[in-house]
Amino acid sequence: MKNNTGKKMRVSVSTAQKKENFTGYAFVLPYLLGFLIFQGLPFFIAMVLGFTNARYISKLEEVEFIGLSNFIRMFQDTDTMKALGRTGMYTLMYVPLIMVCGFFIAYMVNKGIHLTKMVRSMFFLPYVSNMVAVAVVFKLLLGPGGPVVNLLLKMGMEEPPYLLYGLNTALPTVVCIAVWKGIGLNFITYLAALQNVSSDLLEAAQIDGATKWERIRHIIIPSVSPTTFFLLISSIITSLQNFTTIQALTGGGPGQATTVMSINIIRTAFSNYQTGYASAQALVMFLIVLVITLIQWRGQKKWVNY
Amino acid sequence: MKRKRLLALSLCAAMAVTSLAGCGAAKDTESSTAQTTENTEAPAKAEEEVKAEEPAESSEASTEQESAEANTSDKPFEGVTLKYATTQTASTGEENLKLIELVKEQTGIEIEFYVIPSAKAGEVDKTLVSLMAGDEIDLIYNTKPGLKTFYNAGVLEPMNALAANAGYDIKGTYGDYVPEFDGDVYGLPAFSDIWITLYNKQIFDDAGVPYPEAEGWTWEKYIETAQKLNNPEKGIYGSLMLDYDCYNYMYALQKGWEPYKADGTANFDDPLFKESLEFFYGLGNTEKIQPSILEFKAANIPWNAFVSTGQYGMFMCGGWVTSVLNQFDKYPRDWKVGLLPMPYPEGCDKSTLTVPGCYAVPVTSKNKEAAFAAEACMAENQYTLGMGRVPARVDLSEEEINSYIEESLAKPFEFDALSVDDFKTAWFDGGRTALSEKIIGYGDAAISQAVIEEGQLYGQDAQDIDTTVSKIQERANKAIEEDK
Repeated sequence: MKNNTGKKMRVSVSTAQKKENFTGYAFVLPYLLGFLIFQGLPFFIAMVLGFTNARYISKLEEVEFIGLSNFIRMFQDTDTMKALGRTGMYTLMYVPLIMVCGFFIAYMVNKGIHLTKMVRSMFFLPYVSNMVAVAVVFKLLLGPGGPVVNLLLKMGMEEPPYLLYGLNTALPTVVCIAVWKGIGLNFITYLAALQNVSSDLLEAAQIDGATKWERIRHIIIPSVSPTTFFLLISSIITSLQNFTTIQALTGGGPGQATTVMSINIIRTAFSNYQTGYASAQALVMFLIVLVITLIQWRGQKKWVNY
Repeated sequence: MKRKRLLALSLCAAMAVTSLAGCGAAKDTESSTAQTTENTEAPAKAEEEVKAEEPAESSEASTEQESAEANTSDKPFEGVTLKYATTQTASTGEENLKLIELVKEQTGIEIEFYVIPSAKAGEVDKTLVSLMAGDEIDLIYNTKPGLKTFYNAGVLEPMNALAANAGYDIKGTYGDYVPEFDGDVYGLPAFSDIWITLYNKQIFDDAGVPYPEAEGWTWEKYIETAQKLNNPEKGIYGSLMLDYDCYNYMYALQKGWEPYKADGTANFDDPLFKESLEFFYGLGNTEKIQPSILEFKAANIPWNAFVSTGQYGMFMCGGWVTSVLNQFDKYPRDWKVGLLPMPYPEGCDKSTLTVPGCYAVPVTSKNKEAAFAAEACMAENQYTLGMGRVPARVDLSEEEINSYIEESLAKPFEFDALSVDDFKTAWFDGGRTALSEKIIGYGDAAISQAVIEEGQLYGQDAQDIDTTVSKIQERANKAIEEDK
């Protein structure tokens, strides 16, 4: 350790402290082991595979180091680039929608509505529901004979669209369903944050003549900014982990209208057996998430109030 | 203090154990193997339990010793124990249990199940994973197209040399059903799934349409009949087909199209393929004899809708669907089913799609000769177990076929009163060309994906036919290049 003058200081640690440290490490160790074996090791293997021509069904001795070829190929591959574009579109739709809706619902519930507990449970229930079950229900709701199509028919539409099967409607529909399912977490987190907003400040602002919108904008939103920051990062990451949602709802179709990077990576690895190429795609996705998160960390100083 | 420390360490140990609990799967598989075998071979229980725990070398040595002792008998592999990779469900299924008993009776070979988890959608075949990891397995099952992947991975033992040593005539027994890749045979077909047309006699009766004849059952007649059966007021469609890749190119295959050109490139720019796409999607969009692909997908019509709803006049699919016809508890019905062969284009030879189910010996087998003997026994005789299988054998006499149909195959369909002739024309017509249901070759998985995706876009009017064909051709050629 260095002191204020920059000189090194020797800090002696008591035996009791050492024992406590040991116990601490011992508690961390099981998680660390699990993380290293089940996440660290596969991540390292994926990193190595990304630079090879490994195919799932090729022998180990046939695997060659091919440098950046997989990464170059990825950026020349129109299918993969389109999948990347769709991933971006998905995130651009999902994140603002879940953030705004989550905040709005939490604000309304916090203001006080009838049957608060039931409403709270209703919004949180989809979050803990099984995605495949949710997909089955939505397919029925949006399919022929479902309430949506019947309503449109009654409204005079001759050929109502099947929202999950339209080239232009499939992705936005999937996003809306994903938001519906995931909004519980944002809602509950925002609700907890809103309950901690200083009522003194709000009352003072009200006495000073601030309108409702001004109170939201200048007091509530800045007060919950750490929560917003946390939810923003977690929502972006969730939006990129969309395999189950899309696989269960559309399987990447119609055509490739909902084939995002997660679906593309799985197909490349396990249908086409191109393990090396799929690993390279996964690494690029990791880097994208990393860069976005770093930018947010750097940018938070400007708008997050701790 | 000591007590606290002890407690903390115990908690840490418990956390470590629980976090790594999932690693115990391999041992579970072993015990599962032993357990399954215990059910079927009770007297041999103790012996097999010991075998399961013995190291590979010891097992190998005892196997060799047993083989040597038994060589003098008419069952040269008597006492040899082989591992057959299969799923938990299949390992407890009646057919597999009967099959291993049959092998033991005829060859003296004991088969124990090597239980492997079944792969879910999007996952690689776990048997392939196991074989690539070097697991010692003596027998595996897969379809002919499925074995191609195993062949590509280099985990299959070629059969020609083994057959020559055993004096076994593969081609004479199984004809074109054998999985042959690059000049060698890599498995023996036990049965074949042959495409058929099932029809709902009640819907025919209600519409006053006579039951169709197998002779001259062409696509033109199929469409004409289905149109007569259509009854939109009652929600009845004359026809039902599923959304598999092969529906897109079946008509082209029947007209002589092949998915690859002589130079190995894709052949989807052949006019026959375009005609096939127009034909299949036209059945729903233009002829309106079945749900359009958009309705089919959006309404989530299940594969068993023909039996579970009774709303479809005819159903054209693989013969495996007949397995649900006698499950009255699950699919109760009071209407009878008729059986016809797959229709073919007028002016062309009679043909049908097929997928042979095969047994193969992996390269990791330590006793390939015994494995081949067991494999041949399974492939030759599985159809005799009375499970409704259509044998993939071309050496059966007319009498053997008739007797098999009467005594075994037709029995489960007594309610439907299907005749021997019905089965013979649908499944045993030697004059009907057998076409592979699946595309087998470079990039086949990606090609199948492209055919489904682009074909369905055309089917739901999201892109025109020429764009569809050129996109499939482009994606198929790309898949072939990437797979080489």
